[in-house]
Amino acid sequence: MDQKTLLSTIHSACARGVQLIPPNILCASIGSIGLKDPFTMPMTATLQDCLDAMQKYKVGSLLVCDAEGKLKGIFTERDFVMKVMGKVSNLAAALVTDYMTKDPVREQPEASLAFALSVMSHGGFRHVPIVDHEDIPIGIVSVKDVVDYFVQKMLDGIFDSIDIDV
Amino acid sequence: MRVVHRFQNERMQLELSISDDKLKLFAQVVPGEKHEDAQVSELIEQLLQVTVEPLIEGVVVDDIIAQLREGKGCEGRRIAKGESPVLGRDGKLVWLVRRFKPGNSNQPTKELSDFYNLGLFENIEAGKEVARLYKPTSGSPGMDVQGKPLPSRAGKAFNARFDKTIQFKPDESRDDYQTLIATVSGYAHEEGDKVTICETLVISNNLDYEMGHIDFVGGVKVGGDVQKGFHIKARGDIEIVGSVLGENQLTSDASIIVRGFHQGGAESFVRARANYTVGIAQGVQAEAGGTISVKKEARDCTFRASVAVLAPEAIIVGGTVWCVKGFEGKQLGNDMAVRTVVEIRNELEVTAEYRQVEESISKHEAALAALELHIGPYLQNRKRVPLLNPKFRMKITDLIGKYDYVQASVEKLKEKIKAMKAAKPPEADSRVNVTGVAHAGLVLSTSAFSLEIKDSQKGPISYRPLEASSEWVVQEYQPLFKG
Repeated sequence: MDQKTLLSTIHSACARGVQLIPPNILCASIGSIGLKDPFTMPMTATLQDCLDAMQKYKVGSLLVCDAEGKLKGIFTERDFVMKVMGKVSNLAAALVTDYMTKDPVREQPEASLAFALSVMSHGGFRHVPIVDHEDIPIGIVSVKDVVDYFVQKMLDGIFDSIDIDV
Repeated sequence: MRVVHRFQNERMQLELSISDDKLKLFAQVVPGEKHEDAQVSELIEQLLQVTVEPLIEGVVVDDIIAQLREGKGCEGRRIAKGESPVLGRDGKLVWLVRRFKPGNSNQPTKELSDFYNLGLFENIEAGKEVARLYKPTSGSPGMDVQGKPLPSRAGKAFNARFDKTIQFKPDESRDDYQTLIATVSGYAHEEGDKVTICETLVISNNLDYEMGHIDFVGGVKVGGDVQKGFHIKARGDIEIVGSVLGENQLTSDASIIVRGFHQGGAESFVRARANYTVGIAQGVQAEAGGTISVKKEARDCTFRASVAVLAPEAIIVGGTVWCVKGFEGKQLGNDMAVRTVVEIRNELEVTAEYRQVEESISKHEAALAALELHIGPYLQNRKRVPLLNPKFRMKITDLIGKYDYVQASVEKLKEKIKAMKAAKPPEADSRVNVTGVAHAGLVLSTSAFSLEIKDSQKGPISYRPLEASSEWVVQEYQPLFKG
């Protein structure tokens, strides 16, 4: 399909009242998009521990919590590239607390998706930890999770609008 | 602080104290005459009188001895440390969606606020995850600096009552929490320890700036009036006990009932997939997939009903009534001969069934267009799909499968329309029934011919359009629906 045909298809769908992005999608709460469980590390963890965990679980961010489980910091791939690589020779001797982003912006699961996106955009970060009212992490949301959710809702919206008759 | 041990020899004078929380041991050391001969082992030997080996901080001991050999003492230096008990955490319920809290909006407290869109609740579809119930944790005991255990405390379970609208997600293997899912569509509500999903949104007073516009997945009941300019969109029934005061848009996938007065307006409309019932209406534009019922009076309204308009005890003055099966009313028009039109359209194209199939085709075509957007060039060039990476290939293949499925469905619907057109049209049995008076100014019309009443006629009578002679005839009253 060439560019012109694609545009014509978009216009045609919109003219038929297809809502390519369902209304109120941005009002949905972050908790409702299917929160991923966070990977947490204690404050005594070293950079080597964090690197091992990131490689083992194939994740790009780790939440650092105190003994009570409360969120104290976040350590991401970006922190690793900007603060550690080429600068720290002995990863096993360096504590994550010295390299993590301390006291990161966090949200509660009832906050809206629009607000979470706004926070990520203005703050320039890709992950937002989700905590409960005791500041204990219950999940983490990334820009990718939000985009995946939007695409899924767009597809769901298409099928919800019709009654298949075959 | 409490002194627990004293020791003195020719190399050192030692005093050990314990902190009030019994977790830390502090040493005070004064050098003796032969301090240069001080040994680590003799300090540890004294420490073991008070504490246990794993809690002793070896680095500190070495440093104290090194300092002592140089003739330096220390005062209040921590030399051993116990472990605090970790208390068990209480169980808790963590909501993943917003709960309905009247008067607690998401609007900013500064700058501009949109009081029409307050976002007081969140629409929850059946099957959606709504909350997590965290289990209590047992905690772990600690040890004081003297090696005695410090007991912990287990957390308490969270007591919440769930009704059948919420259930635990089956087949979940989590140790720390259980996920709760909604079994019905609605909004989340928590009152005391009772947690539920409400299928009907009940607004006990007026719908105004306190609630804003309503867009809800269930039914809506307004106990008071709907103030001017406020809209309601609902998947279930909408019931308004009071009045609708103008410029309102009411949309329901089921029925709409306005028990009081309904004022229309230039930007207002009523769309009910099933029926629309109103007490008194003025200037209302209403469309219903079923019947439209007027209890007392309708002035200058435009009603479009896919079945019938029923007003057996009501007065209809001015405006236009469109219906398929027919109309039944007490009084049509008034003494002032205000033009009041009743249009009977019993062609196949205006029947509820035909319109439903036609609407379904339209939606299918829109869905196909939207799917085309998602699939992109791979829809036309399916040979490229196997070359994609496995994850993307799976998604595109799935979407193409769905596209074909919708395509087959739309073809079937088109065949259905063709069959409906080919079939013999049902015998027209439409009529306009007047039980009271049909006033001068009343116009009865079909797509082909019409009749204007010049002199008022008393009922009960039936007006029936005869296709064969292209005229309206007056007949003895026959009810619109038998029984």
